[in-house]
Parts: sequence; C-alpha cells; structure tokens
Amino acid sequence: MRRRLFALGMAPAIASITIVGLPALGYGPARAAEGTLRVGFVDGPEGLDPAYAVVGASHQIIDLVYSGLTKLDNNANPVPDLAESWTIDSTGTVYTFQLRAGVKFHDGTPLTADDVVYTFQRLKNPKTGYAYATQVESIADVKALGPLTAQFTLSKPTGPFLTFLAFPGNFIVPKHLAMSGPSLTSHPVGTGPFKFVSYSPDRELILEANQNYYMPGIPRVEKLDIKYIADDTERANALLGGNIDFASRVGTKDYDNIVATPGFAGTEEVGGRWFWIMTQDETPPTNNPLVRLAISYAIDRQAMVDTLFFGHARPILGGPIPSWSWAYDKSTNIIPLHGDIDRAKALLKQAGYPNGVRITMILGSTWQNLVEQGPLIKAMLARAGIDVTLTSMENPRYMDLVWSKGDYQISNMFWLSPLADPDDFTYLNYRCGSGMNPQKFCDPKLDALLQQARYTNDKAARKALYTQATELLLKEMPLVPTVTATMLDAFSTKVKGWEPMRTGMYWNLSKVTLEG
Amino acid sequence: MTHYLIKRAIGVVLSLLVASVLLFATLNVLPGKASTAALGLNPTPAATAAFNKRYGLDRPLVTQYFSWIGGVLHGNFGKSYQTEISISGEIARRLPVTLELTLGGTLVALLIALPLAFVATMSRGTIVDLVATAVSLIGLSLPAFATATALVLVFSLRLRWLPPGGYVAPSVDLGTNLKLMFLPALSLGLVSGGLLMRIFRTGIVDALGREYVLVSRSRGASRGRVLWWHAVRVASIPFITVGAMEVGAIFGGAVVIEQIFQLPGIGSLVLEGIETRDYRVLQSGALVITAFVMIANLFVDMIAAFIDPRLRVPSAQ
Repeated sequence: MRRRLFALGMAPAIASITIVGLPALGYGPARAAEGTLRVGFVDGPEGLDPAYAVVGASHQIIDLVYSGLTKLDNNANPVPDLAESWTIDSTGTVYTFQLRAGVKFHDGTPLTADDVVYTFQRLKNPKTGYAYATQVESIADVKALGPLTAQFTLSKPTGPFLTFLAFPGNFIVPKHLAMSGPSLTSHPVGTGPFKFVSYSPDRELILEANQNYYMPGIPRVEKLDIKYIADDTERANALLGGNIDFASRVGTKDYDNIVATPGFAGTEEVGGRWFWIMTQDETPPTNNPLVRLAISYAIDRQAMVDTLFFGHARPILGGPIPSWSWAYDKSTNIIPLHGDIDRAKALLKQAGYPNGVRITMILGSTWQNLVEQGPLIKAMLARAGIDVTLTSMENPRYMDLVWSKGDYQISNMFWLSPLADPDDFTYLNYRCGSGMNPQKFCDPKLDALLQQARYTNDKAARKALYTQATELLLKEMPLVPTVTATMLDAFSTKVKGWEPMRTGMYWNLSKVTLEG
Repeated sequence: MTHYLIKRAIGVVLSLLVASVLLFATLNVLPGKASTAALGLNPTPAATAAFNKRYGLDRPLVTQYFSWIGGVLHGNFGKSYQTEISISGEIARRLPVTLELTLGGTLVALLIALPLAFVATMSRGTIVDLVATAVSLIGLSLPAFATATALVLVFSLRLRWLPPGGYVAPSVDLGTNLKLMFLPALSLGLVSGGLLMRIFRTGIVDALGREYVLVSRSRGASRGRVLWWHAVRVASIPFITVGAMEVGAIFGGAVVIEQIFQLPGIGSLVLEGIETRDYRVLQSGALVITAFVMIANLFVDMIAAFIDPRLRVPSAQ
C-alpha cells in the first residue's frame, strides 16, 4: 500500500521534472518564434523571382524566402536542404534527389518534384533570359521519377553542380503560382524560413516567420523588419541610435567605433568580396601584359588595406581564389606585399614606355568604396611613372560605356561571390566573351583550363587545374586583383547567435534570437 | 477672380502635357539603359533581350510615350521595372510623406521668418537687428544636408532625444510621427526661413520708407496700423512670391533629407529611379512633382491676387 502511494506521489514529480527539465536540455517542443528583428541592409532588392532577379540584394532576400535543393553551410560547402539525400551514378552525370516529405510553400501547397522540374525548365528556357544560364547549361534533362524524386541528367560531369543548386537563382519556385498568379517578382512565395509580407522600394521590406518551416525551431524571430539604408554612416547611426538591431556591411571606418561602444558587438569574416583594377586588354597601352604587370607591381596592397579599409581587408598576393577555399594554393602568392616600384618601372621600359605612360581611370560614382580607391591608386601608380587621370560617371552610363562596350582604359570593381566555389571566382571574369569580362580578355588556353576544371567531379584534379589557371593569370594579368574586404556586421548585444557566412548571405538571421 | 482661376488652371494642364513630353524625351535620351542597370554585372544578350521584351522597351519611343501618357490619364502609372510594384500605388503611399515634410518645412520657415523679421524691423539699426540678420544669413547659407547631419549628431546620437530617422504614418501614431518629422522639417525650414526673413524684412523696411506711409503717419495713424495695413501688406507680395518658389525648393530639397532620415517619400523614389534608369518610375514621379509645384504656385498666386487686386487684371500693373 505504502509502495503504491509512493509510486503515485512520484508520478507528478517525474512529470514536472520532464516537462520543465527536458526542454531545458534542448528536447521537447521547439520554442516559439518571438520578437521583431530590425535589420539594416544596404540596397533594396530588384525583383524577387529567382529566375529574373540579378543583383545580390535580391538574392539576399530570395535566400530567406525560397529554398534550394541544397544550401551552403557557413564555409560554403553544399549540404542537403529541400533534397534530403541524393545519389550520383558512376558516370557522375545522373543525380537523383530524394525530396524532404511534408514541405509546403507559404500558401500551403505541398512541394513536389514537379515544382523542381518546372523550376529548371524555366531557367533553361531561352525566353526567360536567365542571367546565370551558365550554371544550368550542363543540365540536359530534368524529370520527376515520383512525387518526391527528381532526376537530373547532365551532359558532362560538373564539379560545382551541387554548389550551383544552392545559388538563390536556382531556388525552387511554386509551379502553380509561377504559371498563373501574381508575379513572383513582387509577390514571392517559396519554402524558406520567412514569408514575404510587404516591400516599400528601397525603404523597408517585411518578412514574417514561416510557421511550417521544416527545420524545428527555425526561425527564432517572429518578424524580420529590413530597413534599407544605403549610406554607411547613416546605417551605423541607425544602429547606434537604436533604430535597428543589426547592421549589415558596416563601413570599415564605423566598425571599430561601434564595437567599442558598450551594448554593441560585431563579427568580421573573410568571404569572397574581392576588389580588382580592371584593365582594357584590347587597346594600348593596357593591351600589353607587361603594362598590366607593371600596374600590379606598382600597387602597395598592404597600404590599401591599412588606409582604405582600416585593416579590415586582406591583400591578394596571387589569384582571386580566397585563402579559405579548398582550391587555394599558397604557392601562387608571388606578388610582393608592398609592391615593387623598380620592377614596375623596368616592366614599363620593357613594354616600350621608358618615360612612363598616361592613362585614364573611370570610376563608377555610385560605389562609395570604389570611388575612394581612385586617388590612392593614382598616387601609387604615379610612383612607377604611370600618370593617371581620374574621371567618374554615374552607374547606368558606366555600365553601358565601360562594362558593356569596354570603352575605357582602366577602372576598378568589386564583387561578392555568392557561391564561393573556385569556379565562381574565375569562370565569369576571364572567359572569352563573358558578360562579366569587360577587359575583353581572351585566351583559349585559359578557357580550356577553366572548362576542364568546371566539368570534372574530381576535387583534387580541379584544384590542380585552378593552380595552373592562376599561374597563367599571374603571367597575363588580365585584371589586377588587389584586396579581399572582410565582411563586417554589427549588432546590439540583445542579438544572440549570429554567425557570418562566407557567401555574404543572411540566411543565418533565421537562427538569431532577440533577448530582452 | 474666378475667370483668372480658370485661365490659370487651363494653363497648368497644358504645361503639364508639355512637361510630360519633355520629361519623356529627356529621360529616354540619357545614356545608360534600364536593361544594363537591371542586369548588373552580367548582362548576357539573351537576358537583355528578354528584359526589353518583358517591359516593352523594344517598341518605338513614340509608341512607348502614348502608352505611358494614356495610362497616366487613367490614373495608371504602370509598374516599376525593378520590382514590378504598381507605381501609382507607390506614389499614393509616398506623396503624403513628402507633403507632410514640405508642410512641416514651410511651417518652420514661416515660424522662423515672421517673428525674426518683425523683431528686426521693430528694432532696426540696433544690435538686435544685427543678430537677427546674422542668424538668418547662417540659416540660408548652410546646405540642408549639412544642417540635417549636424542635427542628427547632436539630437540623436549625443543627446538621444530624438531617433536618427525612420517614419511612422500619422494615422498609426501621431506622436511618434511628429517626433520623427521634427528634425527633417527643421533642416529644410532653417534654410528657407533664413531667406524668407531677409525678403520680408527688406520688403517691410522698404515699404515703411515710402511716401504713403509718411502721409498716413502724419494723418495720425498709429504705428501698429501703419505697420500692418501698409507695410506688411505690401511687403507680403514679394514674400509670397519667393515663398512659393521656396515651397518648390523645399519639395525638391526633400529628396536629400528623405535619404538622410530614411523617409519613404516621393523624392527618394525618383532618386532611386535615376540610379536604375527605371523610366516608368522616373517619368511618373517627375510628372507628379511637376504637377505639385505647378499647383502650389497656382494656389499661392491666388492668395497673392487676393491680397493685391492689381495682379488680377493683366494690363493694370
């Protein structure tokens, strides 16, 4: 009798310990999303349909609202997302993806393999004019083998294929809405951790938590209130003044100030945000590789890091593949840290310019950080006898004249690779006739190397090919890589759990919580 | 008076039509295309062709103009190339913000100009006059964005009295709305206030030196009556004329202030449209701004004509 009473008495005790204790250990029902995280981004998206959106600002949002078959982890390695698992056949060209069960689009419609097939057929359709068509160019066929099984047949083995699937442009769209329904460009509907609510162009974009997201406990905030503040100083002020909780891409001169202020913290991460000096490789004097090499040797990259980036950058002493990439080869770092003026002068003399040379540098006036580089580059090149005249023009004219027509001598540019595969740092910039090659550089040998490196699944072989390509690039110097800027984010200490991503995306905001 | 009003109103409509043609022609002739702006760093020929086809940019310019103006006359400004958001909807949402900012700026300008001008004229020639004039000179010399930045630094970051930016609609929370609009309105108002104070003071002093004032005083009119009835009424004409121009300037200056204080107004909409060569946004936004300035001037001209009957009759100047 006493034993039975004892057992009865223990039951509520055990029950309460279980209810209280297990969630504390991380088990039990996931904590409900709460709070509104106010975030400051730089530029507003231009369209939110993955097939039509081109700019990084759009991809940042697409990354939160839609999902892909794979996603990239913090170090840019592809991991399962909508595809739970996959098999690759022995030829390395047939990928069979098993989709996660129970995934729903934000309007409640279940995700099926038909949506995957439709998505990629649309991307490959020439009428769509998909800007990143090179990523899907080796997909010969895609079909649904079952409601949750999609099979891709590639025309040749494609090393970065799983990484491409994690690119926001290739994220899965709802077939029924893409075919008929309000345009996804202004009314995006996906399977991502956040649902689109509203967008006031270049002012504010509001997202709310997707309660049916398939990862338990994600997202951790109820609402994401994104404010677009293009000016670095204003964005920093908005954080310090309490208008936002999280500021992305903090200006280099503001970062140290912010993290030194009590109540604020920051993260700094080396990603794929690299800067280069663009040279027109078809017309004199920059059509001569010796002149381009002279420009490279005239630049003191450490000085650029110290003065323009306040230390928040890393000099590029070899090719554009970043130091954290698996394809990085230290042996290609042959450029001296502080440049070599004597070597630069000697190269110019060899090229037939013993008394120096005059060139014009065009700066795209919309990009603050590029315009700031102008005077420093001019001063550095002057030491080697290269007399630079700086001019600037506003973006649309710049894109037409310089970027599309190639009507310039030198300029500068930067880019953040959203994929961080070595292919992404090379294929678009150096290939003959590429839209991202305003240098108009064309070397069939290099093209062959890059094609080979892309269309093989053997990682070790890819790495060797990229090393070869880098060595060739260092001899020809089609463009002059200068520095990789670190990605700086700052936030109030109420924001917990932020981890920066090498790709510069903000998916990890779905793992962030707001205390207090 | 009604006849004058009708004539002027027709004039505004005709001017707007001419303006629409000029706007359209100028914007479409600018170097740089919407497609290159939209397609970023990787404009493949296929993507460019698809983009132009989707937004009807491959049609002849004349067709594009009539298509646009036809829509405008039905109240449909089309969709933005960048976001496909309805422009008329966006303008309807943003115009009130700029209007509130302009109104606020104008009020601040008047609150600065009128008292300062009165004080200066009452004590003209004394040190008070000198100080008042100096203050107005400083106000009108500083560009609005410099004033704005300084105000943010002091009131938002150091004193933490006011937020550094943002917007809340008055219908949602009037108190916060006024708090957020205070610094922006102040930045704009200080410049115009300085200018208007000078104009008004000069006008009053000038009028006070006229013969009819002397006559009035010698007939025993009180100082106050003379000041109000004669001097101020006469001085108000140039004041109102310049004031109308200033309202237009405040509306234009709002663009930069909207950027600094993150206000979702029509100025920043047009500014972004320039960046991206979003022709539909630019054309429609610029047309709305032109219409506003014309209507504001019409309104002010009515007030001036009311005060000064000479303005109603074309030949009797």
